[in-house]
Amino acid sequence: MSDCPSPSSSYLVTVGSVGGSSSVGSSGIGSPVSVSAMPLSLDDTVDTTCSTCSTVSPPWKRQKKQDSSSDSIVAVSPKRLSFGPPLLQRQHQHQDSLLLQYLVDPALTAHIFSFVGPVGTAKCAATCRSWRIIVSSTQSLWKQFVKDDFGLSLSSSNNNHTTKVMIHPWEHVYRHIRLQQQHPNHRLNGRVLFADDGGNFPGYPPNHALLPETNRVWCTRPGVDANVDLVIQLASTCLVTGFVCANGGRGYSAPLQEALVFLSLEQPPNLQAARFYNTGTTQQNVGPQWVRYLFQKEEEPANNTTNNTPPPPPLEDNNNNDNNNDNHHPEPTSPASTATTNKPPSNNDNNNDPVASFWFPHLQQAYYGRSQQTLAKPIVARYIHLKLLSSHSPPGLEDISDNIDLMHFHTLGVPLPLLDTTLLPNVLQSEAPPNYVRTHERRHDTNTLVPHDPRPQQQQQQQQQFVWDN
Amino acid sequence: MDVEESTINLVSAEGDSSPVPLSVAKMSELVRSMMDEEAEDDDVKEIPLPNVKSQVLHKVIEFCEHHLKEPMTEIEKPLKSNSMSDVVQKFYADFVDIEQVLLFELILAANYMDIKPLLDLTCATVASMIKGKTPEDIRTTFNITNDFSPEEEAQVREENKWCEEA
Repeated sequence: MSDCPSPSSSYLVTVGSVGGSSSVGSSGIGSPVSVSAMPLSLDDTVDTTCSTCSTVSPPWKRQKKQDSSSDSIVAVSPKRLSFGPPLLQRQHQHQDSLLLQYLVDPALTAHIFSFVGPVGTAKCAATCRSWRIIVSSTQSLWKQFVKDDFGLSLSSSNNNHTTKVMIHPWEHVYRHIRLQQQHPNHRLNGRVLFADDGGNFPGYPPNHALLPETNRVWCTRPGVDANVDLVIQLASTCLVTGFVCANGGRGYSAPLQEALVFLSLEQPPNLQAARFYNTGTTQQNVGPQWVRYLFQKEEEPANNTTNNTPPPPPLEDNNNNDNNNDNHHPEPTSPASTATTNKPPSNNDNNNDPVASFWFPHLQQAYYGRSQQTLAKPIVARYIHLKLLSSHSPPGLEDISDNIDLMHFHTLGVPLPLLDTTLLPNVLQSEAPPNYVRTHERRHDTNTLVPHDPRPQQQQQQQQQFVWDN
Repeated sequence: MDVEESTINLVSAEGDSSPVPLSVAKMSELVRSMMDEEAEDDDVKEIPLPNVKSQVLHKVIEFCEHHLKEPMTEIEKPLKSNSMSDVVQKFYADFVDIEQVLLFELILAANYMDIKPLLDLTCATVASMIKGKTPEDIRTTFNITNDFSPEEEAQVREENKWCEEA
């Protein structure tokens, strides 16, 4: 190799320890490289100075800053930084590839891979040893791929994350999810963790919604006709790809009209924060705005939608339609009147916007509706939060349609068994039943089939026997 | 004196001095921090860049000058197209339509001088040469020698099953 490229060829390297994380990624390349940012696998110091080219001194003013903080290093300092293991040194000396001669810095190479994407990066790892080492050791790159493609982003509050993720690199997590993703989607098993339905209508409990498609329906208590929260825990961490929802339809007095779906992974959903998305409780009326926004996104041409439901009416039409007997939510005068909307307000404290919405139209006497929503990108989740916003009130049944009827709500996707047991153990396990506060007081009267339980609510929940739906 | 109208000399590895407006020079975080350190010294007129060759420095200055007039579109990750003209404006696509050696030296210079948009542009250009290709194609593009043993190659193939089926 006669013309060895100068600046990077004269770098002296101290190799970082196992499990370090590169600065490339979330922090961007604006703060390019530090020694500790290279998660290489050796603990020795490697002098990679090239004998064929002259050593270049670092910029005279840079040394002071680099000494003060490794995080603030903004340029590759020839005396302090860059490539690591002996393997890379050998590549540098003997490789005919100009790319490998120049881009010996793993952080720079990882930055290139971030533009290539996961598939291209995996193929780069199959080209030569040096790239394989870089691809496998740059976990921040794979962590970002997992977040981008599957919405899996662990909070920093759990101290277990760091060690667990180091033991089971994000590359393995990504690979596992992608392999599982190739399996056919099906209805995911789950159980009802909480239903704020005011004590369900006798004989129509919330677990009916999770059963395979039958005529059994979940009905909220009379008087509970808006903002009903249903929390479902899946049997394991899963890759959620979509949902199927059907309202009670003809023969029921209050078929579901609008609903929002939220997902969470590490902890059960924060219902208090999600009440920001309720309907009718604030002037902004955020929930119905989100229903329309998500419905519109689902209708965009890029989505392979299976939803044949006509669009929901714009909110401004709701109060001015005298020709409609549905006194909960009137029909629009024209489907074309659905306005294009920007993203509605979010609850920034919760940082968990709804991922899907359902809207069932008023179809004269036939209210039955079944809708399937496919997520634009699959999301790793363990908890589903369904918020029933409103129901229809069929003509002639106004006096008794003061609740919400839901025939079924199914979550589609594939289980990720290794995520809980091997790849991210103890991270995704939160078995303690949450102590949710009800907004709809649980009522018990003589017509209720469920006997009144005088024990405190928390005690009831702790002793509740959950049964996985099959 | 109007600071924005003043110039500063960037000195290349060969010792060539290039006068550039301060606003252009300060696109480099390296230059900016060096200027800040010497804020009280009015005599700072030269910034030595011993790791950047003259030819590369001229390209860097050309990029920075244009970026001030027409900021580059942020490049989406991962790339949606193999053609840089689909990703950034025409000037920037033409800017990186250069030989590999110069492209790689630009990456190093952008990293050294800490100019994020230039680093993104050049790294994305290399990525566009990789995207959608097989390992063998990638080796050919960059003249990379396959140094895997047969056992290692089999292991890599096994690990990459997911992307072969994707």
